[in-house]
Amino acid sequence: MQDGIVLRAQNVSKRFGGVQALDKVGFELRRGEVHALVGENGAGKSTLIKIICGLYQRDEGSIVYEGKSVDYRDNLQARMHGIGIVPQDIQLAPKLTVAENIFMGMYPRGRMGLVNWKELRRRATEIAETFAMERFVDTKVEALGTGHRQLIEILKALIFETKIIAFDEPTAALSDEETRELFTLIGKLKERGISLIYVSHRLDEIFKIADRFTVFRDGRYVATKNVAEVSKTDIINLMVGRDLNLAAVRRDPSSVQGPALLEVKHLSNGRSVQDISFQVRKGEILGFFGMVGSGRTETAMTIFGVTPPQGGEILVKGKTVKIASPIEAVRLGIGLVPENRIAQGVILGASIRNNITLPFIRRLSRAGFIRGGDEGAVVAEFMDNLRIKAPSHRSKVKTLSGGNQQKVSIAKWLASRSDIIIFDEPTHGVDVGAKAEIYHLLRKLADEGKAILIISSELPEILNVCDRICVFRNGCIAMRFEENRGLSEEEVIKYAIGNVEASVE
Amino acid sequence: MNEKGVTTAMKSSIAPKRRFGSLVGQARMFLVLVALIAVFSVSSPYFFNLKNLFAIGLTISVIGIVCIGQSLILLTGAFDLSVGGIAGLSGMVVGLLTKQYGNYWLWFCVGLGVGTLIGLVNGLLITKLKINALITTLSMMTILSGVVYLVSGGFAIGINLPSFRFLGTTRVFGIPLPIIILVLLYAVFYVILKFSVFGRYVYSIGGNAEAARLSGINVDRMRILVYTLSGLLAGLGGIVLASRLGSAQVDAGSQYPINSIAACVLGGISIAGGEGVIWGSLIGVGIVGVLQSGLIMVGMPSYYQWIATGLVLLAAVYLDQLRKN
Repeated sequence: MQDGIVLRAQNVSKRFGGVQALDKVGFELRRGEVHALVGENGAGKSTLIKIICGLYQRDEGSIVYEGKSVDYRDNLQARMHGIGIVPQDIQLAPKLTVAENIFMGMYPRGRMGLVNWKELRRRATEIAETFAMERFVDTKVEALGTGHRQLIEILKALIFETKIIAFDEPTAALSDEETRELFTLIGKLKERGISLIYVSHRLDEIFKIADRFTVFRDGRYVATKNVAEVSKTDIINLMVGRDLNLAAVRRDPSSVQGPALLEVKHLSNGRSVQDISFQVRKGEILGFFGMVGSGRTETAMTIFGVTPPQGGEILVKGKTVKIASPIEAVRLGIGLVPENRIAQGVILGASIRNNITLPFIRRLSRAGFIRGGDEGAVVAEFMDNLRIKAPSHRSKVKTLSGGNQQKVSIAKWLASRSDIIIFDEPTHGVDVGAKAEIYHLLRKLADEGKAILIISSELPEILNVCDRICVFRNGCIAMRFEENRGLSEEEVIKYAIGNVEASVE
Repeated sequence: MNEKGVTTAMKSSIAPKRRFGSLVGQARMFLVLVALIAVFSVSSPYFFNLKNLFAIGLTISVIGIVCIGQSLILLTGAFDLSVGGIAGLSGMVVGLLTKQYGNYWLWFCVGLGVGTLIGLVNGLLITKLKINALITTLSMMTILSGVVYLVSGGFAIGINLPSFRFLGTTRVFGIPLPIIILVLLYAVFYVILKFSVFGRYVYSIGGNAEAARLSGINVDRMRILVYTLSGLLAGLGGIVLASRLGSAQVDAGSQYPINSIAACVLGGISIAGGEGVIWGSLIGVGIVGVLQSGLIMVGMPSYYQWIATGLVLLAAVYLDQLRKN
């Protein structure tokens, strides 16, 4: 049965509002294999494993598990049948013990339906012994680190006779020590004949632990291959696709000779941002690369006045300025396209028109009343300019696709004539077509004389778009690349993660 | 190309349906109002005549004025439970001072000032000390009803000065002045909300306060402003009420928090903020007023009003949710 198929998904589709997250995808999992799911953000990896684990319900298609067609209505049902998940954001009850968390939702019952605590402890200890965790069964979860919390999620999966465990970006928040431990553990699970689905952005990890991989792109199935038969470049090509003109919007920085529009000296916020210095010149695109939590977004938020600086200096167009809130930042001509579009970038329930003119509606008014004609003209110009596809400027933003929502979030700063625009993860959750469009737009903006700052965790994006690159690690700039010519991913990434890769090898 | 498909699909279905849906929603509440009037007209021979309709109009004029402020605050995504307390105290202050010193119009201005000031305090507590809006205004409501008893000694203040009774009892071409004030105020605030920068900010903050803040809007200042306006309008409501009744009552406005929220939500102002049209609140006020008056006309004891209002509020919030989905 070594080659036997445990689970087969066929023609699975899932739609969220205006976004087709999965479009008739297939997937096949063998017994005892580690199968990696690869693809860019928004490719559909997480959606698929959530459907397999009963967290989402598919719109169409079939899933055959152990020879039977299944349709789980929730995660608990899937777990009881042997499909567990270790989610990206671990959700445990911090005030309860490890034992209580492991058996959450299915405490053993004793007389009169009361919880049989003794039995709970006994069984929790038994399961915890598998990974030498038994000394923690009575520890409250809040006292444990991320790595141990992840182990609890795995133990939760093991209380049933588990055949499949899905990992969603398990190493995103782990230290290199914890990552090593996790890989050992995955090896043990494999020996027991458990099949593992492994979602990760980190290609090196996939080469290290996966047997096979499946690539998704833009919600569609692309290919399944043996890891041993391919190179890293092969995987990247499959992920990005060849039909895209994503490359080469970067410029040689020596061709950009404008004055510095934004200059930051020794900026710190007392916590996650320490001694940051850089400048962005008129007409250039500066990239901030680094892992989540490395201080990139926090730096932008400090510049924009969301979290006020504790030290250092900010100069806009050569003048030292005080930015205590976004009100001043906007007044100084700085715009921010935030990472979380839905929560921070747009007002979903408001029209495209009201969203676009919000930062500068005062300028379109006389005696406190909006000049409708002027507003309409500006909105029409920028909807056209950015090719925002919608029935009308009165359409509510929530009816638009992710890419068009992002364009609205960008349009308001273009329309308000900001000279310095910060983009935090500008292509998160937008499909590949819109992605290319946004890259060309960024370059166009720089050519028009704006200073552009891009924050991204997608290295190909940084390498394709930016003229100069700052790599962030632990709240500091770990490395500056004053020109972006012939840089390899490895060269850049090693500064973002310190020595992790070296020690994993 | 996928995107193009989505857009085309949207063009044909989603967008027009939504617009149509909201029109139906507005019109539907108006139909409910008409239907209620029809039902009570049939049930009671005393209901449908100009005299009674004016009486209802007078009753709702005060709560209607209070509802404008409540609408502004609901549109920003918050509540004001202190509107009743403010109305009560403003009316009482004007009553007491006029009784003592005469000179009504001076004390009228002082009464408005008291309402405005309390609204300002609400706004400052909520934005500067960051105390939850519900708790702030709930506490303020309790404090104010205590203050009303404190200053009045627990007795209603009856006054028969013509100037004191001017606002509440004057008729213009046979129409009671409070009704005219009500309609004028709604017209003014309709224009402000629809066409002014202030209105745009109110809707934006209610729609997504964080996005508004990151767009450079002074969200705190706007919140303070809407609470201050709500205080001013509630104060005006309380003064008009005292003038209409010819006395400042100690428990005036005690039902305003729930009645005003019920009316606004019934009229389509979303409790989540950011959506709704101010005319809707007037329709909502009409429904609550007709319901309460009608129940008395058909011989129901007055406490049935409270039961009915509570049920109507639940139904209205449920409708709001249905609309959302």
